[in-house]
Amino acid sequence: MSLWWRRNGIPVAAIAILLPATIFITFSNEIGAYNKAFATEPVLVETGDTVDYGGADWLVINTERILAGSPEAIESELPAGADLIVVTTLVTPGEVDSDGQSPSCAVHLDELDGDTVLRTFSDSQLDGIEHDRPPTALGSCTKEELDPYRLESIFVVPADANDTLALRLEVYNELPRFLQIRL
Amino acid sequence: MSPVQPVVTSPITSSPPAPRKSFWQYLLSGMLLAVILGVTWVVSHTSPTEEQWQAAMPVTGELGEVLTGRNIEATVHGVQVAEEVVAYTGWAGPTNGVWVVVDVSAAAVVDDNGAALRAAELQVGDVIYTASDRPDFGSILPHGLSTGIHLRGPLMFEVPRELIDSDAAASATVRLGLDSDTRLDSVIEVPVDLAGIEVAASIETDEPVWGNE
Amino acid sequence: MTPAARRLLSRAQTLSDRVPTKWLFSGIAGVALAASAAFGGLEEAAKEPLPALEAGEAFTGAQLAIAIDRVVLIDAFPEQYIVPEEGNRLLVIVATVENVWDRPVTTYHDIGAADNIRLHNVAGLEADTPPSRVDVLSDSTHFSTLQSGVPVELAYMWEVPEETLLGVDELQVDVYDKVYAPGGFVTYGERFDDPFLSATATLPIEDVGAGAGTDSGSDSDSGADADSGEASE
Repeated sequence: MSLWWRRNGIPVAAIAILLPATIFITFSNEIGAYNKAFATEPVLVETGDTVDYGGADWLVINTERILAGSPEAIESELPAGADLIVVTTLVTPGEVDSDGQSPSCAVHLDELDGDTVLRTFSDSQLDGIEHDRPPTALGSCTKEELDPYRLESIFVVPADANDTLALRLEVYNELPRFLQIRL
Repeated sequence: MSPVQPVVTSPITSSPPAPRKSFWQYLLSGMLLAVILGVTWVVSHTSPTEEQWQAAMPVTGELGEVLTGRNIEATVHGVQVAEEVVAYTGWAGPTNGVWVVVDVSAAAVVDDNGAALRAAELQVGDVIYTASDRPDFGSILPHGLSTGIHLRGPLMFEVPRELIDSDAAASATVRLGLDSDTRLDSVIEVPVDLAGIEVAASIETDEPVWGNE
Repeated sequence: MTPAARRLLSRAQTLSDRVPTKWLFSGIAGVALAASAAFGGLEEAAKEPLPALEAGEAFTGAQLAIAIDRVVLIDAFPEQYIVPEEGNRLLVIVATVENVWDRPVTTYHDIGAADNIRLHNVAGLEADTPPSRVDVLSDSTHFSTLQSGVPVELAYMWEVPEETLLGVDELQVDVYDKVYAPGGFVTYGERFDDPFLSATATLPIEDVGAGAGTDSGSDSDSGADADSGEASE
């Protein structure tokens, strides 16, 4: 038996090391590529801070919460049991991209518990919200805008959503990094 | 064990005679083989099939109960059957079967990015019907879902007339999910009794409503 | 083994060693041909002629039962915003299709009922051109889904150049059936695929010109109920 080991010991040891190593490397390559396509690395931004990301400076200048049942809620025709969160961001485009345009972005609202995201809300999915956006603000990131502009995002959330909220902002080219701006 | 016989001839033409095994050793080997085969048989028959380990995870409940899955929360309020349905949009689709109208509330739970009721099925026996796209926005099928805020409205299923009188109609199931491929995620399942439901001549459905009561 | 059996075996082995291998193969071929004689020989089996359907007569395939009801030539369906390019008209096949499977079937291309009806030999149109639209006749739902056991009247539409069907009275419509394929190792779900010609229907072409009064009911195809002829050439 030991003769067999003496002859074959080195190849067996090589397999014992190489096989798990190959599997591990292949897996981590694939998972890495998968993760890079999604927003998995948050850049945490405290309330009131400006951050440079994806070719523009971002600063949240105002957050408003219209409570369910309030006169403004009724005016805005909010659904029963829902609050409206209005976030205004000052966007200062910096370097433009190859087409000479400012970054486009995807905006969501995260409800947090400490650092964990409990729920995520998309930008005003519900039709029929009668909320008037001030004429100076835009409703979404506009690539043609090269001067600083105000971005107003509205989110309809259940009234029981807590107060630790963050604006989640993603610029496609920067993925997996994304902004999590405390409100 | 009997001793090994010494080698007498050259290695090419003969090999050393093997030690003689006793009857009991043969029996033991045989029994071991039988046990291993038996264990293999049990393992292969009790392992989950591909269908099983890929299956959807049902959350079952009754009419009127709020059922919560991973990212879908839904309630089936009630079921009606009619020859004709008139939606709030004015759509009134004729059919050669009958319309089963299911009153549903649905919401996303943790993330509404791209969430919609893409799996809306009625299963009766072995046959699966999907909610009709003919009413367009008159049903809640094309609407997106929102996190934490329920959308309540009708789903219309076009089914053969004979279904209502069939035996299987008593144990029909309404199934709701976020993806038309329901594997590996939660689905809300509510059993409904369609047997002998009165078929109305015409039903009017209202505009879908957002809100939590 | 008994000595007698051993002797027999060695004789058989010697004999078979003497037979040239190529004789063995010819022998096998000869036996196969002889056997095929029992089944009618190697002539190509006579193909059964395809059923020729009447208007409204259904052909039941593995997944769908299809009946061709009418063939209509019309300028456009302006209410449904279906307007062909300049110089073209719409050729519409009205068919009653019933899903005889136990799962819903889409009317879309490649995976559904749009694959089951084709026009036979229309000049200016490539053979096997899929319809540009398949609508539910009553409410114009675009590429809807067929539920099991519920027959639905569908309108299959093709855009054809105006001159193509001038003076043509009849059109042959080809009806296709598909083959069932269970879910596989790398694919999920059962499906029907590989359409093959299974029936034909030859119907007269109804030319309804611009169609009956364009302000008839908002949820019906104005051209389809065009027996109140406003036909014009």
